[in-house]
Amino acid sequence: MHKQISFGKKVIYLIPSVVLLLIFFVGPVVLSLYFSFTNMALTGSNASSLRFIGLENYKHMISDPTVKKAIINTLVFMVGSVAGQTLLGFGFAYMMRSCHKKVRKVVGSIIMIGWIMPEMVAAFCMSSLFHDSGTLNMILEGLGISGVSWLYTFPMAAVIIANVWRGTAFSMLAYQAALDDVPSDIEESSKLDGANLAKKIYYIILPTIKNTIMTNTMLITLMTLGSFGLIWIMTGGGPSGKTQTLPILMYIKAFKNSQLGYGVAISIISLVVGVIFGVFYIKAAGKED
Amino acid sequence: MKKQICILLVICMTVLGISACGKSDDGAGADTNTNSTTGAEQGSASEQSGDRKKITFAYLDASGEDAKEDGWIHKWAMDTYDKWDQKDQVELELIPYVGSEGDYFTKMALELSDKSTAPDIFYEDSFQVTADAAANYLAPLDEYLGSWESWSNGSVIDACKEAATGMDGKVYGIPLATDSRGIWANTAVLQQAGLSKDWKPATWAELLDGCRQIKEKCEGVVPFWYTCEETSEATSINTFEMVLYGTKDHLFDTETGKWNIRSKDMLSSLEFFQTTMKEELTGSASEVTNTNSLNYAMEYLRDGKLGMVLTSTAVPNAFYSAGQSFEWADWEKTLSLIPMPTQNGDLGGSVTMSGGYAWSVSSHSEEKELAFDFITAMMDNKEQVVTYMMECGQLPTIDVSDAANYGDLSSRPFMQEATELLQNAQYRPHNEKYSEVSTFLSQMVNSVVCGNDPAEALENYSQSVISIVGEENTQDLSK
Repeated sequence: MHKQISFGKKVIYLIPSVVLLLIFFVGPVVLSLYFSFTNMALTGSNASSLRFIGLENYKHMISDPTVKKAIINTLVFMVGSVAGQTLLGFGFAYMMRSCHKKVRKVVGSIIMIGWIMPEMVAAFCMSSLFHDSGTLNMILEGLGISGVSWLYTFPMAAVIIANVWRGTAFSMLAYQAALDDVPSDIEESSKLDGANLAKKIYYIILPTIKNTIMTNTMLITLMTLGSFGLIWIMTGGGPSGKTQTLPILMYIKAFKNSQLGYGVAISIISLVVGVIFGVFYIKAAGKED
Repeated sequence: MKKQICILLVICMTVLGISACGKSDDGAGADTNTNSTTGAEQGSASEQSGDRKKITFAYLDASGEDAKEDGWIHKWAMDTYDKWDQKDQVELELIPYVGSEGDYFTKMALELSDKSTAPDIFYEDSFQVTADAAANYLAPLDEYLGSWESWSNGSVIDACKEAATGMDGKVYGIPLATDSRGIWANTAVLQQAGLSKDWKPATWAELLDGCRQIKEKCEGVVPFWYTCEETSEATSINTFEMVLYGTKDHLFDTETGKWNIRSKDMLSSLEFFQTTMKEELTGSASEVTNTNSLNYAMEYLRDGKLGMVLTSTAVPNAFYSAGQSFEWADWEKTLSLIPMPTQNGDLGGSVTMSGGYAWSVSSHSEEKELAFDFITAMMDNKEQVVTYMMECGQLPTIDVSDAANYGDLSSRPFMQEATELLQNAQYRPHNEKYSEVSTFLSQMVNSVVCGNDPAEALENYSQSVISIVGEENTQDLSK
């Protein structure tokens, strides 16, 4: 079937992508890896004498309680966001299948608002929603319930909700496309066989869209892992580090505490976490192929 | 096939994720909040290539977002430039930064580290001087100082000179302004609570009792306020150090040259803040730790909803200046400035921390002497110095009593009190590690105010300090 392509040609075709990868991916990663083994600093005597300090930064990380806390926060933020976005995205996509076209359009565009807004704007919207004298508390007050200082009392929940609000549209789009591929004849025959909604979703729909679920989950995971702006604007990682995820901690260590080398080491850790999840998803998705 | 796509996507997303957290160190992002103004005549771009030298001048513009040419430092610099005898040979480029102080320090550190971005002259907080000098970002000015009369004739306050000196004893900046700190009180609230108008607590306990009295007698009034933003120098100097320096053990032992960790005094200082939170003697943690904490305080103080606020003496400027967001007709009659008491009323009775700013010259500058000349021309432009102090509310570091408009400054309400506090002011540790240690200091107070255990917060702080300065440069005072 296939014509044999000569080895030389293969190499030529590969060169552009390899060069791009080297410049924009491998280069920065290697450089970061090197800096993470140094005492690089923003100011102070360390800034004038860059020194190789071996695994010092990584050793310090093990005993640093803020890193431990940040890893836990990152996982909570990620799991919360992935679960919320997947459930809501799938839920909306499924329900909208049987809706009238007009309803689909209206509901769809409302959900899309969060996604098309720039991160900055979305974060400010969410801040003003959860602020002490913000929209949410005003509504509660109107109902006779005294409000809570959301960003202070439930900061992690607030940022997760904000992230889910922003990301649901993306999942919804992915699931809408996937659900269109579910053969209607199988669905109908399952109905004749007496399958209820739960059974239909579990036995028919989920297996059909399994790969979309995987891809979608992986994309959300990686997007959430690197999420910075939303949390930074809403809580700044506070109160007292309760929403400090790895990217936030990296920024604070590098640019607020002036420890650039240490900050870079933390970013390497988040890279490793990302790669672990990535590999895990690829393995999981690959089984079916 | 799907597998390949997945791999590709993973790579793309990881790259995107990483580049998203990276910094953009080119000018693109920075230019959105800078707005450079060239001192040369309009439309004379070709002149740049001529014999004219050029100096760049970067500063934090705190005079309001839309100030631009009405910016306090802008006016001062341009007025000086217009009168400068070297005006015809030198072009001046002003680079104002509008934003938070913390972001400005980060930005300056990044720009100073590279020759292509380092400005010739820049506005430097005195607490950064030792660190930036150790990083070789600053040019020593000693060789030029001889030519400037005001330096040697006692016109510049000695303590301010010291604050602008590096750990190697060289001078790295010309102090431009200083300040003191105390408690601003709304006397109407004090009186309503049954305290006298000129009430002055002698110890922390008396201060806390006063707060309890306000809480009891004045419904809906917050007794006491301090700002406690996470990772902010203001939290360190305005809040924590004002309390800690009222005890025996300070941050840094100048005799041994070591940083104090796990000290009992530090713990009792943290407990002071814990008490204010636990007994609800201060605002809600969400407001106190907010970036806009001080704005809340100003509003509440003006509206009689707040008794006292512990902060810089420069603060009431926002009440005073017309058009400011907290304009308050009765501020002069209603406010009083209370010195912050020490823990037990000993050690001189009261405490004030003094900070301040300096003009520094970048070590990368090719026109160091010219830059120095311009700085001194600015400092000798006494009328503008006075105007600047009037506008920003800080205190002059140089004798300005011969300025024509000196009367306006000296007759200002509370000017006397604020200057008097300066007499026995304490200064932040003169150590290159302070700027880093300070960030952990503010994180520690913030965590206690947010409800964490003081002992645990102190332990975290101690660990962090050890990680920065090394265990051999600390002394454990718990033993």
